[in-house]
Amino acid sequence: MSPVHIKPAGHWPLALLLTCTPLVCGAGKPPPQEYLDPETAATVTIVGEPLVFARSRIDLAANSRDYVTAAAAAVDRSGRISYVLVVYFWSTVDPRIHTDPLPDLEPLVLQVDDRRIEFSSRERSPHDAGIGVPVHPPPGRAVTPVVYHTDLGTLRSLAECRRLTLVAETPVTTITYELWEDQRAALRAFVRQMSGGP
Amino acid sequence: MRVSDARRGLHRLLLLAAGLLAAVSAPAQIIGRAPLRLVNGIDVAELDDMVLLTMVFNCSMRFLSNLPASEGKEVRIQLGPLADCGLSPLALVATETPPLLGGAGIVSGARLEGIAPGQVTLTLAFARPEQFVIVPGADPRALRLRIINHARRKTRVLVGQPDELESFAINLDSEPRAFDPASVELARQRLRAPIYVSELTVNGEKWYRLRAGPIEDRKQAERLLERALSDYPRAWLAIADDAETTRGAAPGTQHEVLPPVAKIGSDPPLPAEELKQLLVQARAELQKHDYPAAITTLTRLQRQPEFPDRSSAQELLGLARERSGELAHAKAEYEEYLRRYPQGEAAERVALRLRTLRAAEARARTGREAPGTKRGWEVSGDWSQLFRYDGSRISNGAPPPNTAANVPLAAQTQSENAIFNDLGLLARRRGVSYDFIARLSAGYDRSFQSSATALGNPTRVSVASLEVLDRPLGLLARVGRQVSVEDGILGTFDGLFLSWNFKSAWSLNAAAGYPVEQLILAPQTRERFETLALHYAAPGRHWDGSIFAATEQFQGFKDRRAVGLEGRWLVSTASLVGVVDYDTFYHSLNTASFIGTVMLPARWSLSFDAERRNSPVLTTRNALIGQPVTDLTGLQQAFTIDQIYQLAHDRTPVTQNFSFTANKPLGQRFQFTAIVTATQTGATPASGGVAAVPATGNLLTYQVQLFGNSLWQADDFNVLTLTHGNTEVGRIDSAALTSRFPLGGAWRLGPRFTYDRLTELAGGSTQTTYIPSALLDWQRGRWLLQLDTGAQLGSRAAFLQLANGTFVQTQNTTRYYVSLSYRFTFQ
Repeated sequence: MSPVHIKPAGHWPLALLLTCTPLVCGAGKPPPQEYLDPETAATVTIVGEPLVFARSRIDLAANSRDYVTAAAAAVDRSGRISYVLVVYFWSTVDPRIHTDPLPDLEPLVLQVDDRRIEFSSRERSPHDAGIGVPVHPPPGRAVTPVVYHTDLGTLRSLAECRRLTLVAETPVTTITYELWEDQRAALRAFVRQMSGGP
Repeated sequence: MRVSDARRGLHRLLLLAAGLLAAVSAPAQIIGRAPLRLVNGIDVAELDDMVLLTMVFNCSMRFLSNLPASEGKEVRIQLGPLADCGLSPLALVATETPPLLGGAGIVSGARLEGIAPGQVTLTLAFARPEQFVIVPGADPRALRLRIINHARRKTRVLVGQPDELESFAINLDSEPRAFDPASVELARQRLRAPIYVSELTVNGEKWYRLRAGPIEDRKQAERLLERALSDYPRAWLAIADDAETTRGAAPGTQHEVLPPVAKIGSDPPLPAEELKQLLVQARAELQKHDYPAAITTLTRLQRQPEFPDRSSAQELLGLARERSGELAHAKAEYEEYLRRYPQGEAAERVALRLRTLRAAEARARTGREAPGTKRGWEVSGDWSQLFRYDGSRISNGAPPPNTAANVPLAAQTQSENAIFNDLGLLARRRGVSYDFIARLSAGYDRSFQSSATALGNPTRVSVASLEVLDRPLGLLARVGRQVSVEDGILGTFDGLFLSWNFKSAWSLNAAAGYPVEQLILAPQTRERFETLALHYAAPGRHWDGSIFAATEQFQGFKDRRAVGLEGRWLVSTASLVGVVDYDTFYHSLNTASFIGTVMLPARWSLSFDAERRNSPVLTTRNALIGQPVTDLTGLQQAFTIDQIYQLAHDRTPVTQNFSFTANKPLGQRFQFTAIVTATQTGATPASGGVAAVPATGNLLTYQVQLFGNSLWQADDFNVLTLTHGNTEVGRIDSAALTSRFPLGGAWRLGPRFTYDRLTELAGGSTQTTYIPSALLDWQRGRWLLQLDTGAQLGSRAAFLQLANGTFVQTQNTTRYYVSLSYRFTFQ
């Protein structure tokens, strides 16, 4: 899969608004946000805050980490709703010294308690999945997201589980990313809203 | 229910007569007296690879269009009531909630309402988004909808690849420490299901899983998951992933001695290519249900020394034994698999199969449910009551100047005051080899009117049947009152239906019985029919089809003798369904109907419907239309047999209908639809003392609809409909606005307003009608409550002569109705 790089310039106001809304609304459980994607004409509902996994890279630089940001979204096209995870792989390590091979993007594997759940990406680009505007992009970075398909039941499992880690396979080894920003409460609110609950 | 042919013809004659004579004498114009209910019921049959909905109407309906075209969580089917419905073009159609028989968990609701003049919309709601296709039948009093790609995964052994084999469990919770017995017992009490704990090691750490199951049926498992989520928010559906607690005998079973299995390596080794071919041959034999041959081939492979696919052969041998009913041998083969391939690819599902077989045996022996299985009868159904009051008031305007003033006072008429009671029951028992289904759909109508036109208090039975499916043989038998509109069968009948799936893609169907004219009557033996049909539906193909032959006799007369074919072609972007029914006795094309849909770029979808029908279906009984007798024996007093056959032909006009629908979403919240319909009903000659009926000519109707969702608030639904068309009585222009929006909680309100203007052909008078109405409903869980109320305010400007000879220039009609209903669904 070769993701197409999203040009966010034209949609920075919307992306910025969506990113800042939880801050404006105050702390606590950030609510999901719904908007009409101007590029794809899909109604997109995104989680208030994404999950962020991290792997320490003190072997390369102090306080540097590799991160994976995963944001749940629901894409409504003509009443047909599909659920996706919009995932960004990014790092705070200087790329000049970050020579490790990147993890395989397919499949994405999450260890959810005792369950290993694999997510696959079937679309050529996020745009094909109905995502035109960047969803919770990492701050200050132009990172190409990968969109993985999922369903509401799986998202519920992620939101309610006791332990959640991300497992990535590289050509060399298997890497575990621990949960760095635990926004399962936001994911719970998202699942509740999409389930038709209050 | 079939209205008798004589009444259908009489309704049509009255409709035309009213239009033609309006300028000379005007009976009090009560606008649109519809039959009591337009939809008799909706029968939902779950088949192996699809779900078939059969919608049965109380009069003939013309299919116009459906939106969305092929996929969605809801479908709105637009229908045009034909002449035997007795509806005038401006008829006010009260909302109906047709009884649903079957389909629990698939079809969540059905509603019929009038949105545009001369049309009704039947809305079907599904529990989840589905793919579907509309299938016409030979008889316009029924319509089918197929839900396709609705996988009915079953954990019983099916002919097919081993990876179709599944059992399910609900993983309620997982913890890295053991569950205490109180938690297990609490789960058992909450869910009333077998509960067990399994273990799993993940990354060197042991996890404990609290589970409910195993469950054979996926649908059952999904229902249990829904129930479990409120107490166990981490619950998820586990599919054939649990081996530790499924190995070994079920509690309560005695140790049994199983038959021996063939010894590995007892035959000299065969070349690899020949082993591959034998395995392919064995799979083909299983596909063809030739279990003895498959067992022979697989046993030969079992006697081979170890080879790469031997584990697959071992599993298939267990399957073949089980399918052929040799359960002890099946268990032995499964045990052999687990002994020889404990880490095999199929180990977990084989272990589950073994546990299921043992549990079934334990139940048969002890008479009690063994842990891990749930068998027995599953009963579902619904009970509903609907009360409807419908009244009209006619008031006449001032007489013209210089005429005698003897205008009658306003007159009140009550056209309906009744309560309708409906009961639907579906009882199903799934077994390893046999399925049993009992169906009942019945109702009782109680009228509070005392007039001659009152309803009466009839008890009606729409469906009352028993069905058994022998899975190993592929044989299905259904006896009793049932409904079908394929294979040349024309609706409801009392009789027997047989279907034999003799090869993987081929089925032979046969039916015989007595057609049902009225649901309030017991089986009537003066009519009978027989049909025979051959179906082809190969798995994985995009088309299927059938041919049929049907005969019908009425009072000893040949009533109908037809041959026909049906075909369906379905791909992801297009579909085409066709039905042809040709009467070889009358040499007449009864039905040629083609419905197609194609998805185009830029999200356009186009649908077309081209139909040519004898309307009604050409049968010898049609000779009774317009006659003063009610059976052919009476008619024979005045006519010869050949004359009777000719009368039947003369009383059967040909209807041609062409409709074209274009549909396109506009953004995310709007959808635009344009429909053009052309209808023509042919003339019938004068014969047998019955007057000729002229042809209608080409009647064109143009309609545009704009749908909008979430305009005023989330989840609201709005549709604006503009119609311009020609009917048999005149030109209609109409604008209608329909909305539905949530009020809060489970309440929804649906206000509607329609403005109609009819310019009559005869005399050029105009009728203006305003129809405000509102539907309030509350739906939660198993309950549905509806309150529907509306009015029809009509004004007719014409030079009218009343029954007493007085002339007036205007006449106003006020009609109002209220209906209150509820439905309770149980399962």
